[in-house]
Amino acid sequence: MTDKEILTAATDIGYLLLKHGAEVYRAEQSVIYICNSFGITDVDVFAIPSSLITTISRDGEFITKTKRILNPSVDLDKVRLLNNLSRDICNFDIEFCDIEKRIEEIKATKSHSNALLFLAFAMTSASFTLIFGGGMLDGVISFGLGVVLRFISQIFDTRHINMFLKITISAAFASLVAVLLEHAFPSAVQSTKIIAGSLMLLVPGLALVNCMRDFMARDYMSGMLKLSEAMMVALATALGVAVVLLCFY
Amino acid sequence: MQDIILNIVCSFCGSLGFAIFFNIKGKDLFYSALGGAIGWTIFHLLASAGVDEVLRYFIASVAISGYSKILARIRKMPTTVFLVISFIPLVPGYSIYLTMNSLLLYNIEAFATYAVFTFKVVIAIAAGFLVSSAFSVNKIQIDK
Repeated sequence: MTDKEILTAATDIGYLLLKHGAEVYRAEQSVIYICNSFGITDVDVFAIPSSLITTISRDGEFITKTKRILNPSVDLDKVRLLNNLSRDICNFDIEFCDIEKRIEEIKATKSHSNALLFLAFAMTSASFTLIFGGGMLDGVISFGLGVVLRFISQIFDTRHINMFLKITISAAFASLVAVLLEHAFPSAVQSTKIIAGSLMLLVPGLALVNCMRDFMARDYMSGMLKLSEAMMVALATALGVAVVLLCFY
Repeated sequence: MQDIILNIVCSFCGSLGFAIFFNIKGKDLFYSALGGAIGWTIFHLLASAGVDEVLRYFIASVAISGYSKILARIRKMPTTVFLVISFIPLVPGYSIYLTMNSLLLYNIEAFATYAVFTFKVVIAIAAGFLVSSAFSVNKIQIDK
């Protein structure tokens, strides 16, 4: 394999790892390991969640490749497959065309069916409403809200509308339904529990935890990026709910 | 008793929903959701025993990180897959939302309270990671 091919394979894998939600240090290490396994010892990688820069040099010649990660989407099955692929590259001698073929295969793996995703949203929001102390009726309402929230997010995603607008509108919708139902049936429905449960689908809890993990891996840059993402998403959520609550109280 | 069963089932289902959303497949769906249930159940049981809230987050975090690491070894998978899902019921997403909400409603007192609380929870979870990574077999290697 030529140095260019090695660099292409390594950065493709690093790029996909970052895009599908692997930790930053894992993406960086995968690139380093893959280059090392082909005998290139001088590898410099710098990754943040939105960009990956790699330079390799051998015998005074150096090549750099930059990858920009534009629309990240968490897909942990792809992370697993990419991890297996980079482990195989390090352990066995794999030709460049085979690597490319496997990368294409990984890109083509399907996600779960649409019906299952609707069910997942509904189940999550209902479960958290019950955990936060809502009654059975609240759980049922949250279940329905989860379906609608999935529907809203699908519409926004297919039209590539701004993510913050999507979150604000989803949050506003969920709280509007909850507050209206509480007004209609004050004794049976607790709007705060319904809002709390369905907001679990929107709030950036994961970004916050991942940001701490990046800080501890000393990836301060990535940690700061994820922290600002978490703050912005939380702000968008709060904005949606606040608008509705201010109209009613 | 009924309360505990409800909590176990609901935290399992809630994590399972996110596992499906994040496209985990096959048996790992069950294992990752089980991690969520384990973490939340520990958290909940400690709550009924009257343990301090931040300490509860810490203990649950140690348990979940340990669970994810062991399982990642057995299943030959990246730890993230299990860790991300197991943390779903514990993540302080709702309290960071409350922080921002009180900021928007200009309730500065509530804003400060929630912000400090979120920060404390995040620190407790991070400390839990650190403790379990000290016992980790899978050390990070930079040079091969």
